Amino acid sequence: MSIDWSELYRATFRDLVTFLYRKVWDPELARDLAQEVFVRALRSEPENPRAWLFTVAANLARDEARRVARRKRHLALLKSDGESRVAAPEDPVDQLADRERRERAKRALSDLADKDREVLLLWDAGLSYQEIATETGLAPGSVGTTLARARKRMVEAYQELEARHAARE
Amino acid sequence: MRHVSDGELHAYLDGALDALPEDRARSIREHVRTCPECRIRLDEEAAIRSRAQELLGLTAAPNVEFPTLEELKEQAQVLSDAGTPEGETAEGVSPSGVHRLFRTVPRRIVVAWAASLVVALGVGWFGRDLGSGPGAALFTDTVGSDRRAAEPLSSTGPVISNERSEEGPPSREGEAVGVGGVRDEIEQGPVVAGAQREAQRQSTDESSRTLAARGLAEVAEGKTETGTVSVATDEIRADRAAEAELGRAQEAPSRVAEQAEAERRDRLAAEGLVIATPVPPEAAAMFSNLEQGSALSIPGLPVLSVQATGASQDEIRIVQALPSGEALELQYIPTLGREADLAEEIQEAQPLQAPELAEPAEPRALVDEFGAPMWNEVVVQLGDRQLTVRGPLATDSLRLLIEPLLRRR
Repeated sequence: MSIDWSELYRATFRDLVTFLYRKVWDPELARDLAQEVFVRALRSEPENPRAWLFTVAANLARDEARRVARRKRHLALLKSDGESRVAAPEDPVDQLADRERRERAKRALSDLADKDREVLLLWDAGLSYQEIATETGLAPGSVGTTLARARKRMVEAYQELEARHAARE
Repeated sequence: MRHVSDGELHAYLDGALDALPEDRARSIREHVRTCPECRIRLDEEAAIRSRAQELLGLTAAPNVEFPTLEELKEQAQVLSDAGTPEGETAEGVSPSGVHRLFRTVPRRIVVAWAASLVVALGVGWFGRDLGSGPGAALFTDTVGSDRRAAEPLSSTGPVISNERSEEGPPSREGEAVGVGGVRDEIEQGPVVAGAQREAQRQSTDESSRTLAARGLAEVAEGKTETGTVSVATDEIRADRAAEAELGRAQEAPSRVAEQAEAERRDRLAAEGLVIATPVPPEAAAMFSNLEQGSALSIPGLPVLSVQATGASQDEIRIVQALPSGEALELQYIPTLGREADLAEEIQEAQPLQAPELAEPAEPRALVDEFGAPMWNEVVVQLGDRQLTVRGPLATDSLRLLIEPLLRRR
């Protein structure tokens, strides 16, 4: 099977970076890992490239996360925010609020159980239920259940963080 | 039939019922259509789904410069040329450290280092016979191993079988790059690996080395000591990448323009591809009959929701589904007599007690996954109302879509 690399790159690379960023919380590392994954795909020419890319990315991010954890850098990374594609509000108060919202969302995502987070991110990356099932070892019928739980818990965790924040002020 | 589970509702909302057995998928569709209780739950789960998507949008990656496809292909070529085994499967990953080419060594340093290495290799190669000639003094015993290492990289084993080779078997470059090499250094940390290299350097007479010989010594060390093999091979790959980069720099002006244009195209295309708020095919099909009879919606596109909005509830917002599954929003704002009673038109546009998909219709959720607005909009005056149509399409396409509405007036 011939792979249309231009199309695959166009349709996938940004998703790959996003997927990896949500695992390592370091934009440059996410970009570098995405690069590594894509280079591997170029050399391996997998049958189902999109699913393959995210599967390898997940494995790579897992290795990277372990290393990061060993170096105890994750807390610092969680705090680093960087410039977002969304134009930052001009008002400093709004900027602060925006930054806090993003950090709460990161925390809510990070606090999910590993499996829940994995399924949620794979779905968001565009994988089908069947592909997610293959990647995670879940039964296809359980993917929806896991997604439902992950979404609910993320929303609840965010609300809880927001409530805590409001109580402090 | 038993009620539908939360997971099945999410599969329904995600348009993923095909992951379930066909009979079950069919009965879920039927049940959701007819069970009032499950319809309420569907709305609740749709709101959760949408909110979770919105929160995910807040966790988007900050801006970083992406490599171009051409750069990625070059990297793959460099690895192939270096004989690095592919060794990657979706199940088992053997990190090759490719990303280190970009991550750990600033490009300018790589370029400078590569240039010095090229000089070093050249001097080493042409000077390999000097030991027996007039220039033998330049390569004394203290740099003998460096001289041997100046043989081409493809020469293995015997070429670098100097005194260090007793510490471990000589490694081929291809064998050197794998989990072990990279991981060893990662585990030890760059400080330890660097200290090892430094200690090795000090074991020879530093003062008698030429710059070229010093560069060669690093190659030799990398090829003969397991713990630092990955460093040398990574650097060799970095060197080749840098050489490629040097070559690219010479064809800079046209390439830069080309690359900028390619990036621009990719960026636009990528934005067009991102589905902001996917409309599940099942849900879209369910409401497909709602546009019939409506004078306000675009014919042929399923109506997902119709709402009276604005402070006086005299504005109408209609959300329709594009064939791609993305949403399109039409907003009618009265510009004359804002007290106009639009209830009749709302009723007209919303027959059959159309249930709304709660959150997907919210404009605030309609951003790309990086949180950036990705819609265009076209504003036209239709009689006493202003129509704004927004969607993930070019403005020309939006104008074409609303032409039937303009003709009606």
